[in-house]
Amino acid sequence: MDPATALTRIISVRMLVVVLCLFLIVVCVAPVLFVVLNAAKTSDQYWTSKFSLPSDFRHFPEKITKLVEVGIIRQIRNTVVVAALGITLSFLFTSMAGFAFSKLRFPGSAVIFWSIIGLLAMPTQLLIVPLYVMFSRLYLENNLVTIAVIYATFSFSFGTFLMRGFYLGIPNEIIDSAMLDGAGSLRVYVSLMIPLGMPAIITLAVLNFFGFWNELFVSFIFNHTRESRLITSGIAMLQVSARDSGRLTDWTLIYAGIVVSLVIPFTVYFVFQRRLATGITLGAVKG
Amino acid sequence: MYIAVPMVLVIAIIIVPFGQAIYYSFTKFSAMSPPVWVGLHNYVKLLDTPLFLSSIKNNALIALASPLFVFLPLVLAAILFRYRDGWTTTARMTVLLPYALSMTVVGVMFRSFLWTKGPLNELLTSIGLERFALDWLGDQTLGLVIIIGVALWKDFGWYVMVYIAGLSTISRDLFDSARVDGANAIQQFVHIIVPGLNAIIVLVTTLVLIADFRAMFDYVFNLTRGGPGYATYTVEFLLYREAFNFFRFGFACSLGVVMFVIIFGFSFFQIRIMSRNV
Repeated sequence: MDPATALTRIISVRMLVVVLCLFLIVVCVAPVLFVVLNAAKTSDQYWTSKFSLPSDFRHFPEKITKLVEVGIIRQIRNTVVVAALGITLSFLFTSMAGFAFSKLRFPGSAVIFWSIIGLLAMPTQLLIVPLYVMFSRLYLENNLVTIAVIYATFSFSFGTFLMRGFYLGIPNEIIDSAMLDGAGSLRVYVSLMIPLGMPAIITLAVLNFFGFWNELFVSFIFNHTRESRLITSGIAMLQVSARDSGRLTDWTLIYAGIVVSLVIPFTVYFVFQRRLATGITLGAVKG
Repeated sequence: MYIAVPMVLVIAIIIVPFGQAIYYSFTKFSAMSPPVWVGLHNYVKLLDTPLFLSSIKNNALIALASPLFVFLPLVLAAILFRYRDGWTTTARMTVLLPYALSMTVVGVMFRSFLWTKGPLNELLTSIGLERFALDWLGDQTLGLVIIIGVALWKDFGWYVMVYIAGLSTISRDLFDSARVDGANAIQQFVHIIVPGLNAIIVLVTTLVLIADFRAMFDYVFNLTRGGPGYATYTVEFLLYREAFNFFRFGFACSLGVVMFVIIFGFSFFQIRIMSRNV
């Protein structure tokens, strides 16, 4: 191969890669951008010119007022409470269980561990009827604490697996020497396992955040009052309330709702993007 | 002691309801009346319900698209991993963007795009392709294709990143010596990447298969509402309708048991892979 053809070949491969990258970027960004841009328009502007840039953002405040009326802000607040509580519970449960299953061998620990992992196969849909019957009898439906506890329990299997995997990588000598110095296991957990486990703990928290924030099936069934509804079901319901006096659906209001609902997830996404990539390594490559 | 609290919750929220669900599946049980034992009645009725058969067929058809979810991200990951410059770095950062959106937001968004008077058809018309401006959501056969396409849009970036994380564990020396031996990109893909990522490919496959039988509520609910007619009903959606629109709890539980059996089969493989990697 003479240098000239080699050069053209390299250039054309490079061009193909650039075109592919451009294509991927456009495919991923364009739909989101379309939603953001049209969220600022009025319904009439949307129907006449979907692809133009919004002329101004005058109409956004009145949309926010409408969204407050249909409860979006309340739903976001609820979801923040549920996600924070669920993440905290999940952190406590899985870091303790991960510690116990990796460092404290106790009778039956292997059997219990693999039974917990076996629960990964449990479809939520199978449990939903008995759970709903049970919690509605106890008058615990439409309750933010209930759904946070349910989320933390459902994510227990995966979280325990991830934390145990991470703790297995921490040398036993560190724990042994601490124990020799007279530290009890609780002391080891609090002052060694939590600080050392931070990378996995934060990763799990981020994965849980997206899991809890985006969950629809359980929250739609459990939290169905105006006061207790969560944001994902709120967005699903928005299509109902956005009907423009029986005429056409006001998509711009739905878009505005989506944009408002994305503020917190996008912030988490941009702050923890790197963490997410390592999380995949922890969660997927190791298991 | 360290596992006492979560174990109590696991028993109360997963194990006990699991037993109850199996029991309910053998009963006639609704919001109005307590469970009454009817034996296998619900399961016999399942086989006699055309909507159940078409729903499970839809789940199976979605599962047939799994190779697309497994191999398209693999190829993309190999390309993004091999060529490192500003473009591929930017692409890597953006492919994960749909992961931050919920299936609900994605479903609602694409419902608005695919509406007959939506932006997609307007775009097609404006570039002179009117005949491709279809009633996307009103077409019997297109419904499933759309659900698969939308799910692919949301998930492919996640799997690309899973593969890239795996690729970075393969020794660089392997690629270097292959290059010295004159192996081209495709040969390297077949002989280094595919065998090197074997475990991850199997893992992604099971994740995709489980999602096909477990995560198909959100898209159906927000994107097609099961329609047109009943064309895009999945088992998850049917279960929701039976339990919470018609309050046939017993029948819904028998649907849940069928889902459990299918998912348990796929998960069995996943757990075996997980245990091998520990």
